[in-house]
Amino acid sequence: MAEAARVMETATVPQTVLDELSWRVQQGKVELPLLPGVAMEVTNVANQENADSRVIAELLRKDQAMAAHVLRVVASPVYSGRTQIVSLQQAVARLGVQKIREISLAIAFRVGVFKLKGFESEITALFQHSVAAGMFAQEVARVTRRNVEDAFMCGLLHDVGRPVILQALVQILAEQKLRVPTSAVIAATGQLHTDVGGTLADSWGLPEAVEMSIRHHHSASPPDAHANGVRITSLADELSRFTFEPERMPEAELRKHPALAPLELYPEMLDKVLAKGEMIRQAAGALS
Amino acid sequence: MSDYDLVVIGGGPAGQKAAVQAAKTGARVLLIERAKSAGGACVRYGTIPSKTLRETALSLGKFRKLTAHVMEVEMPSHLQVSSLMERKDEVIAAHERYMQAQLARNGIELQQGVARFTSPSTVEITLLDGSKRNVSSRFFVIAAGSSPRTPDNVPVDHEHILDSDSLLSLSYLPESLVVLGAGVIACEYASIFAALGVKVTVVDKGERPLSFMDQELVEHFLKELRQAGGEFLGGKSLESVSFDGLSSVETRLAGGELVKSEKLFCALGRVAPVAALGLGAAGVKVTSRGLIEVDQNLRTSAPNIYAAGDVIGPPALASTSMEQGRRAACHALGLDLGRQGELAPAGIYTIPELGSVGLTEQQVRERFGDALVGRAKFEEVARGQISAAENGLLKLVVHPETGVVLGAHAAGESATELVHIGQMAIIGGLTFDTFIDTVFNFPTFAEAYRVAAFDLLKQQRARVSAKPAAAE
Repeated sequence: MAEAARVMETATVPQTVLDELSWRVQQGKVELPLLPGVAMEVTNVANQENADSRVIAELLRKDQAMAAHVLRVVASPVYSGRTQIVSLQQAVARLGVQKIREISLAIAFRVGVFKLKGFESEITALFQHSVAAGMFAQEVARVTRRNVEDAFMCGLLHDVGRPVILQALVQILAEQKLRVPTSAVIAATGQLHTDVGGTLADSWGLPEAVEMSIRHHHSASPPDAHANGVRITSLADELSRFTFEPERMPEAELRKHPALAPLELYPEMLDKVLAKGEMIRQAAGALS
Repeated sequence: MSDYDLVVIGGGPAGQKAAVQAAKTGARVLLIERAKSAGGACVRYGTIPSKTLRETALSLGKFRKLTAHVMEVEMPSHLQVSSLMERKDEVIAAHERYMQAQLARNGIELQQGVARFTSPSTVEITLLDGSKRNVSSRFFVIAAGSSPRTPDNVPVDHEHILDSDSLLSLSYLPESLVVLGAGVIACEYASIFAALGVKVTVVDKGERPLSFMDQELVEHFLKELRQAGGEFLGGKSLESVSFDGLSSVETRLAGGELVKSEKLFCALGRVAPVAALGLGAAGVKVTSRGLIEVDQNLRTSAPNIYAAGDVIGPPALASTSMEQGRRAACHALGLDLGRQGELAPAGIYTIPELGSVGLTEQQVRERFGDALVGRAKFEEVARGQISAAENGLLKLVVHPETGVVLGAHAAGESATELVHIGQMAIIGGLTFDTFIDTVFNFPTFAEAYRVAAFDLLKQQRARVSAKPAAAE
């Protein structure tokens, strides 16, 4: 009773909390945990002598946190001495599955899992959205003959700032004994995710194309460098939204997306991408 | 009255020249192009980007040799294709700017969209936003180009298994690359990637690559490919191609042979996009090979519709397509066609470069029962030594009796430029001794013509002196 009385309620996330978040991001004191199910699966698969190597490779492709951590590790001088690794596919091909398995296992043990009571459904939705965005980005790149691997990575990681912010905000609010409505926390996450995500991508040494997509996927005019990559990510973001939340992104609006013209994506090409929607929805939905 | 005098479908080399030729006569011309700017596959996926990448690859390899190791240069092992491609993007942008300016200067209207015939005199254009525009015209030139052919047993995904439209979208150099096919595009890219340090394996059902070229030149190509660590597997039937879901593309050949590579490049021909053009509504006939049928004036089975470039089939070279486009427009508008240049050279930008014009040694032997062939190795020419381009050859093929120049074939640096001298000699009906009597700049590769001519002179004299002896 006395403990509960000390918790203060606010309608929005206070500035002091946002300042603390900003400081932690700058200092690298934020975490990108894994989904509990993914961490468990990685541990299981990595410990099985006869496990199908494809399972590990597939896990990387379906989990933005694991993907970001692996890219971060392989970007370090220990692994990038001979060849600069710029994609997940390249990491698997160059380092070999055994090495990727070891790295994944180390990550699963080191980074821990999300502890976000009350935000479980948001976290699951975030991960579903990102994997769907990755897969849609892949399809857009395929029909427009742009780099499929880069597009997938940019799509998968475009919102990587969101779970990091969410985890950090919940932690800071608890430390400062503040209670804020879920909607306010989600709103703050939305406002900050491009800047925070971009800063993290830079500090983690992720490829520049990924950083640009994270920073600018909501920008009306993307920067010249990686402009088409950013456009593909931006469109994939909305394609994913259309798939999971059609009420927020009606098809008519999707077909007016500003990225369509510069990407030279004709209606029949967009139809081809949309035809993959159900397959992508099921693949991403499997995360739940 | 029609909206236009000429509507050109496709803005590649053929379409562009057709439009410019027509506009210069004051005709109202509309050019319909799928992409934002004119240029076609040639500019975006073909000639311009591949040749730019080739120059970069060549320069990297040649720099150390040319500076006599005074300056050491090493290609970073982590070099990304995107870094090599930065120059490609600049070249493409410059080329597009030039073409836009040319279209504007000639008053040609450019419409971005996809055209489909609704009748012999009208097309419906689907714009990027899905809206439609209908236009009518007195004449049409179909120059819609071609796209890579994808056989059923090659599941091109543009990620692990690529075609010529997606190959240059790679962001990093693969460690190994299987190239399916042994035509011009296959061999050019095989050379380029091998020169960049990629382990290249070319697989084809034919015993030799570039079967239409002089085989002595092809040997030069194979030699350099092998020196760069590449391999040619000829006479191999393809069973299947698949990505292993992990890290390798597996290419299975008849007989159970398996070739693994990080990426695969499928270059097994190109197809014309005839299905999308609504040719039935226009009364345009298509051949059994899916190409548009044309007569000697590039006119299709519909009297007001012409076709040029890749849509009518071989040779499907940018140079010949340009001339076809120009001639199609001339014929449609009743202009003087001029004398048709039948002698088209072939230029292949492999490493080494291959150039060819006129008859090959084999063709001359078949036609005249014999041939005289003069050879000049680039190592015999000062320019070859200076430019660190000793590995090259010029073959001059002449009539066995008269010495009239019938063919010129070259492998090595500037080969595609070099054969133009031979081309002029063939057109002019010159004999090889013209090259002996002519002063060339020194040091140049053109000097090889003199060397080859002296080789011919030696052979001719030997024949003359051998004849009386034989008679006795």
